Amino acid sequence: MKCGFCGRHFTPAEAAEKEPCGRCLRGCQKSYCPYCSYGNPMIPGFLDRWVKNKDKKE
Amino acid sequence: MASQNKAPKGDRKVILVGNPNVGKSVLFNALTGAYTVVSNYPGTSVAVARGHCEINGQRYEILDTPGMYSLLPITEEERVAREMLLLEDAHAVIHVLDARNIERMLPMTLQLIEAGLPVILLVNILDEAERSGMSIDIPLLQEKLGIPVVGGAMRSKRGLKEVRQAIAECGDDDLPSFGYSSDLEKDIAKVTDTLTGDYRLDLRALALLLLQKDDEILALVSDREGDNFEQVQQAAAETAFEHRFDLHLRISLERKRVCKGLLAETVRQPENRRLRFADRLSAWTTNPWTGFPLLILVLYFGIYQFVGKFGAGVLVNLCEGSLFENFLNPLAISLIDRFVPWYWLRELVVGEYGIFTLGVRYAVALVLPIVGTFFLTFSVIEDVGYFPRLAMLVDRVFKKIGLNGRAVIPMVLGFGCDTMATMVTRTLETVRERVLVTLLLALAIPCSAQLGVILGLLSGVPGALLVWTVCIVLIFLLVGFLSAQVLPGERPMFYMELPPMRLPQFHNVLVKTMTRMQWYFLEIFPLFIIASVLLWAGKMTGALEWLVRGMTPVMGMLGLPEEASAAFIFGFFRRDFGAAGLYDLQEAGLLTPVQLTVAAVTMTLFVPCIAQFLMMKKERGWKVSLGIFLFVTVLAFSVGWSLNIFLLFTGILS
Ligand SMILES: Nc1nc2c(ncn2[C@@H]2O[C@H](COP(=O)(O)OP(=O)(O)OP(=O)(O)O)[C@@H](O)[C@H]2O)c(=O)[nH]1
Ligand SMILES: [Mg+2]
Ligand SMILES: [Zn+2]
Ligand SMILES: [Zn+2]
Repeated sequence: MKCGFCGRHFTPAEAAEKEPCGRCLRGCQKSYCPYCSYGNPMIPGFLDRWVKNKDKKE
Repeated sequence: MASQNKAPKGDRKVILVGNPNVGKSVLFNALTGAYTVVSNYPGTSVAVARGHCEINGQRYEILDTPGMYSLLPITEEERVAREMLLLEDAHAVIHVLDARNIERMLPMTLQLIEAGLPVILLVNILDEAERSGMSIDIPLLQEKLGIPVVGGAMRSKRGLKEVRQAIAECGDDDLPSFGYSSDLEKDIAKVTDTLTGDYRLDLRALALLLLQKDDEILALVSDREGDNFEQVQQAAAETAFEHRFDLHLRISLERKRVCKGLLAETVRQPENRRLRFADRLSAWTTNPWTGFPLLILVLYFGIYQFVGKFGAGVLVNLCEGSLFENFLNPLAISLIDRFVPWYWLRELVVGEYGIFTLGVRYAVALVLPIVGTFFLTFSVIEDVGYFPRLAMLVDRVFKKIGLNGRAVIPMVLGFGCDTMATMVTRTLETVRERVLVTLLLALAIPCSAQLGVILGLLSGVPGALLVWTVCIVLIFLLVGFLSAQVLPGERPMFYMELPPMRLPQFHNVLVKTMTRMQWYFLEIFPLFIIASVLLWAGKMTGALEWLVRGMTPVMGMLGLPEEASAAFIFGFFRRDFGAAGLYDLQEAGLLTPVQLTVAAVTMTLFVPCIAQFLMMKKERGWKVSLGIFLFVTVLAFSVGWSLNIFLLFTGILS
């Protein structure tokens, strides 16, 4: 995925490990960019597939 | 200089490097054909492909590395790629880049050359670049760079022959060097002068990496230098300290400057007005003189007009006024009245603090339209690429006035709500530092979404919004001041290459907005329901009345009506819940602008909400967290109290 802050690409496996802050009841639900540690929203499955389809078409 | 041992024991090695997605693997396949081996790099989980090819009767081993963004590695893949460059004895290193992004990727070519590696530059994907009207003078670029440069499109094998030839001809030519500004060169020399060991990497590159506090390089140097290491480290530390904040940025800017010069004559972009406008706009956003007016414009239209007027005004009126007040609430109430004989259950569902009339209504009719519009704005701004520029602007300005902007931006931009928590767990040495950081944590404004809700709700009263904004800015400055006390000389977080600015992509924005809204809604909905049940229980048992009565004198001190205590109790669950309560009061005509402002500011400052308090307790223990809770509460109410007096005294807002 592409980081919304620094624009670099990373895979979910590379996302930086972060300890949950404890403020979010259901966990922070973000994948943190390993380069700048921006919290990108974790896109749920159905929306993700939609994005991928779009990307393929492009 | 690097002891490039060119006498091949086995095959000569050729390493392919470059950013992700530039065609390294395509080149690899074109060079090697079918006979390739993919295996994990020793000691890692990163797969590396090796293959062979023969040029003019000489066998070469080709290594395909994982993509990397710079010689300063961050991910494991980048680490492996760099290790291969440092440890494998390369006959040639082919830097593959995407012609369309040559300006962004060329700095790494400089880094590689600087490292003393035998670099061949492949300007790939030239087909696409040419299709968009770009043209690159490859021979001129070669002349200027002083290394072999090949242009091509590996997918169609264009330029493959030249690449093979360049590999065969790769010799011991002296590598060019690019001068940086004289003071940077002086700093580099200070470090290289102390180095005495034997390295494969060029001393200048080594010095640059040392200055940027690269741990692996430090270990390597410590190994090679022996007794002399202390001296090297001292020289590097001193120089790095003098420039603590901006060394990274400076080096990267210098490289960019060199690249700009190199590309000025060699690359012809299509006459594209939008492109050049984007560049100019980008420069405006990070310059304090133009950046702040731009920020204010963004806030005015994006937040005030769209979130405040449209979201909190039009949409909320529609949902809350038309849908709930006129339709759903009366319907629910009449249904319940007809079929439910028990008072307590009627209260639980549709009472003053009913699950439906309070919890659901607040979540669906008040908060959702506001966060929806807020997240839409947020996602558009994010997709345009404005955030890194905003971060740079704030960082610059804060630095100028001696504050530290690092703590502020993360709070607002949703850099993980845990940024502060990470700061706390960092090894802080003195008690003073620990207390300051924990205080920051407590003062820290939770997240952009909650701020957005408060902001949206206040937009109906422009003066209140303005005063509230000023207060928040003051808090930001305070946080910046406190963190400058705690974290001096930290490596800057915002050293970065700015990604290009562009028009927002519709489906990107839509997907991100929906994702954020879903997350937020699922986050608050249960909380709002639980809160209304608790409030109901409080009302039923009389505990709530007791609490409200207890708070009345405090409300009086702030100049607020008794009814406001309920909103503050909501606020303890979450600030946005409390803000919704204030909005309700304001709609009912129970609050004057002064009262609304005082309440909103106090509430924004007040309470680390329950979840935050519990976390603080976990990390710091009861005593400290209670202490901080008391401190923040007293602080919040004192600020509210003084603000009330100030506003009444000056007559602002009345
Ligand atoms: N138009 C065009 N596309 C190319 C060319 N070379 C590669 N590509 C495309 O670029 C994409 C990335 O190619 P890869 O070879 O996988 O990139 P890589 O550099 O190995 O990427 P990582 O392994 O992620 O570091 C593929 O979709 C290729 O088809 C080219 O010359 N022209
Ligand atoms: Mg690859
Ligand atoms: Zn990032
Ligand atoms: Zn969180």
